[in-house]
Amino acid sequence: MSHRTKRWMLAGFAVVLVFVFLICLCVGRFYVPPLQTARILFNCLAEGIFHAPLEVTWNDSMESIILNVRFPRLLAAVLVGAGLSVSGAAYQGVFKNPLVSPDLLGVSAGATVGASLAILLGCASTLIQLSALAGGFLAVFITVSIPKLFRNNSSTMLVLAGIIIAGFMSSLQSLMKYIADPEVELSSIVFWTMGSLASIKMTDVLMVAPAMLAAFVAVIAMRWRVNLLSLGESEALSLGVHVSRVRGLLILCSTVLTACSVCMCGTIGWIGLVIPHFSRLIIGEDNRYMIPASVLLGASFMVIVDTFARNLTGSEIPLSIITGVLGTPVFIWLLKMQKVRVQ
Amino acid sequence: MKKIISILLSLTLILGLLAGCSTPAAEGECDSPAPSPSASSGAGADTVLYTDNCGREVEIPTDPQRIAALYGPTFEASLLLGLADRVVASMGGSLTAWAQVVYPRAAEIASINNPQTPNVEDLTALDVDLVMHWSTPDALENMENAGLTALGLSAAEPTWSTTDEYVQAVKDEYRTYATVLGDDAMERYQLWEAYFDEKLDYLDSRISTLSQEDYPTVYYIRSNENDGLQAYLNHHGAEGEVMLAGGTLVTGDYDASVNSYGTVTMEDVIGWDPEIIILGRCTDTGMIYDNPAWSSITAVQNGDVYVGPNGVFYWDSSSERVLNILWLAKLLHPDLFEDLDMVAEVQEYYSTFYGYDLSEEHAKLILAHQDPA
Repeated sequence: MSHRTKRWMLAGFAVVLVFVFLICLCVGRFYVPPLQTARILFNCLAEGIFHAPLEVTWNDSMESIILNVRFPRLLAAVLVGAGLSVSGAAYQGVFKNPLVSPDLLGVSAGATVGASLAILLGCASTLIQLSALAGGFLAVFITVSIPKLFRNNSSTMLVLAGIIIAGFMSSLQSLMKYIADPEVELSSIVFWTMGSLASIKMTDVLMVAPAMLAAFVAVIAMRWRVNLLSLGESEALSLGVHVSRVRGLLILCSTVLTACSVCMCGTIGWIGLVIPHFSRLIIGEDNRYMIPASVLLGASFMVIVDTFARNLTGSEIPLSIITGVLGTPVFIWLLKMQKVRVQ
Repeated sequence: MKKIISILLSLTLILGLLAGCSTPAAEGECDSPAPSPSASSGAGADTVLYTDNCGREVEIPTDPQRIAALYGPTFEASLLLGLADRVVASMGGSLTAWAQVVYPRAAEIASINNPQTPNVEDLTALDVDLVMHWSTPDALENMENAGLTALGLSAAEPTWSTTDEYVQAVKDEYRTYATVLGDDAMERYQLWEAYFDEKLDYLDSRISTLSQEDYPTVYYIRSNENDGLQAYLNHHGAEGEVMLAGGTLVTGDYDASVNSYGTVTMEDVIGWDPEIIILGRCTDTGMIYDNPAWSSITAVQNGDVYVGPNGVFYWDSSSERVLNILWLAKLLHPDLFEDLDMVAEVQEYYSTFYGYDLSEEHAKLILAHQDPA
């Protein structure tokens, strides 16, 4: 595959994301005709930019559904899907290990503990989110401090530290579930650990969007260095890469992305592991293309998953359940296709 | 031998860890309930054979003296039925601030952590002779194995669909508690049943003048989980209460699959467009008014979002639900119930059934879902 083809493929993925986004915006339990959806969206643009609103052919409920319910939710799905996938892709490159997912250094476990603590203390949803964010960062901070303590700078030491901290955090998590009031708090904690975008608001999205966008830009800008890092530490060093600095930056960006995702919608499994593989199988190992592809495919995948979550039944289905159920067969199918191509 | 013991010990450790991770909520409720338990005289003179809601036959003391009222509403029920003095353990959530005002000894009752899977040694140490528990077979068996007498008292599945059946289900529930508690609990129960009937007649005499079209649509939020999307669905007590008060619960025909409360979707709520929104177990309407997603809903536009009252136990699922029905009726039909004085009603209820003279300020705090000052 030439670089030119790969560039066209990336453009194709971007088009797919836009299409998926628009189609899913029209789908919901409350029926809004697609034409009205388009008019409501155009009206926003027309009113906001040209100060020339369209003639109103829709009612308040429709406008509220599209602009206050579906739009923020889909936007959050895009950020979360892209964030988790790109963190997974970056980690898989940094640690030269295809089995690595974004929670490797304990960020998800830490965020979950933070959120559970806030739920137990009876905090409001904004405080729960902030507490999750703080928990995620704290966990990763402890993880990266452990190798420093032993003056051991290898990736293996870091991975080991991550496993230790994640284990510790999940014990704390169990403890909190144990002491939670089953009538009120427990179901809240359990639901939170399975992930949901059910109660997302535009303010939630705007709160985390700037940090996430900055992290996206940073990871995409460093994607060539991820290629070098994945050659191995000594090779990268000999090529003039400041290994620990690049690794540190990538870990920081991935932590920001994962912690922000977790604080918006709880923990969601699978996506950070599967989407990078998915992208790799389609576009190849080269991180210069694989990382942007992960961003676009992850976002599309999450938008689709969340649309299932809000439409399949009357009650919301936790996202982790769908990512697992939908992700597994797709992944197996992709592996099969890959094998066919190799032969 | 040492090897076997070490293997056993490590297995126990692993099992212990697993138990710590498992959530009581995931534990299945029993699926073969016997909704109207029947008592029959058993072998001993001071025990009686009793069939609980799990269909288990249990020999219970006729006159239990040291009771663990773990299942949510049972502590308030023991207070209502005049036998709270015999309760030695309960779940923390039942020993509320108002329970402690009405009945100061509530502060001294042992609060059991993880009441759905209680520590049997704690209960044994408290010398408990009857555990009033959820209908969770595993936990019940655990307690039975430890020599405790435990009953599954939560209803496994809703058993009503009309208001008459709902009223009957509520009466059956409290008659069950009275049967189990023994002593003169049944007399106290009958007093309460008479009061319940009297209030129902009073409501009916006025609401029956309305046609079904005059019933406002109500969306009843359970707790502040999921920003107002955790709601009472069909067959929850709240539906019966709204129906009796002359309202229609918009979630009434919602596919409730397992629980009688659950998470609904924002799109459905906007589609239902309720005229009244009630917040059950939460204290602040800001959650609704401050979220633009709710802005198009009629109740929000008219400012008809209300925090439900809260007293000794949650008004939507304790004996105080009679007061909840009255409060709802006045809220839904202010013209019909202009003369209904809720403060006086609350005061009367508390003095009649809890033996506590509630001040006017306290009654107002209860109606506003506030803790005692």
